[in-house]
Amino acid sequence: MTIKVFIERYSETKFIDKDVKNISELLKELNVNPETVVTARNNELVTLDAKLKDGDEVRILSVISGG
Amino acid sequence: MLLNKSTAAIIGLGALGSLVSELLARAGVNLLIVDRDVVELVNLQRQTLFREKDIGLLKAKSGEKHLKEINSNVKIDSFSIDLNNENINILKNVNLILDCTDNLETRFLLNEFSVKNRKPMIYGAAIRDKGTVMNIIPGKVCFNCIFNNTASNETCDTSGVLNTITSLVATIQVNEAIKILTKQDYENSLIRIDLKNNDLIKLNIKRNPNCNVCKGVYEYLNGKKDKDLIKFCGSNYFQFRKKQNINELRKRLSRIGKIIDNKDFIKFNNIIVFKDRVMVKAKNENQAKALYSKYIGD
Repeated sequence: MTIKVFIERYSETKFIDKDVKNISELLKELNVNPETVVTARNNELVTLDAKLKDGDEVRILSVISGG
Repeated sequence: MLLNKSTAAIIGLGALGSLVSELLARAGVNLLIVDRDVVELVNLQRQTLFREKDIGLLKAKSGEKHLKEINSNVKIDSFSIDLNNENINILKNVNLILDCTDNLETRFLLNEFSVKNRKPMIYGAAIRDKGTVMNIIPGKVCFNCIFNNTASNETCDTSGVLNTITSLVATIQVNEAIKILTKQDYENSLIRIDLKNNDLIKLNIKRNPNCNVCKGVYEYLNGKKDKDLIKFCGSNYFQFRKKQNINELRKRLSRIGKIIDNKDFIKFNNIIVFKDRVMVKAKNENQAKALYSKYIGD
């Protein structure tokens, strides 16, 4: 399966060609600390246990707290 | 007509709160403004409500003066306090809360207040060239539904923030505020802005069935997650939350140096003492703790 991933912090798009079950596994694969991000799957914000399938597009966004 | 009968609370008078308060005052909305900090030179790059002559003044007091100069017909109530679970009831009569804070702890507290008291709230935040806005509407998705168990590893100190992104986020917050106050349709998505590529995207959000706040568990409102020492974003001030005997400190500190006496606080060198907290200007946490111990006590 292939997952398209956009990492906002680096304005970088990657394609992950591995079997990753859910968002949590994907973040582990990318070495991203899950506490510091929120994640959207196909333009919907989802929790870490959200399942992934071939062709999904994931957007990884940093948690912003400045004001 | 609906606007001048409404009161909006603006929590935090930094870059977002500066512009949000100015635009809402100009639109005729009555305001309750809250900020715990003082104006510093480094704030002026983005905190449009303040001028060089305001440096050293409390942001809430100084902001109130400027907002009254902008529109004398609106009612402005200012609070120079650290908003916490013991004083948050000052928001009980407002129609809307604008979250313009610089930290997640206060956001989680505001979210719980918003959910419990069924008051709409608008979350806004910015860092570097990125920003975000989300409406939190009673009965719909709350802040905790999305941001539960998260932490931010970037601050205005470590990453900086452009005054263009804060202006854009503030503008969208005010736009949503006017829609909510005038009973128009409002945004139901989370808005994300990235000025690096001039992208604005909208992400769908939904209630998290495991969200404790939506189930009525209010850990911040109940004081279970209070922090006694925090650093203010974009400033060199550290805050120690502890009740103080100002009269006793005034006597003690005036024996060893000059103090500036004010109705709301006393200032001694780089230390500002309020009745319920102390702000210490320092290079790092250890230096702040050392200064606190030296001049204030344990």
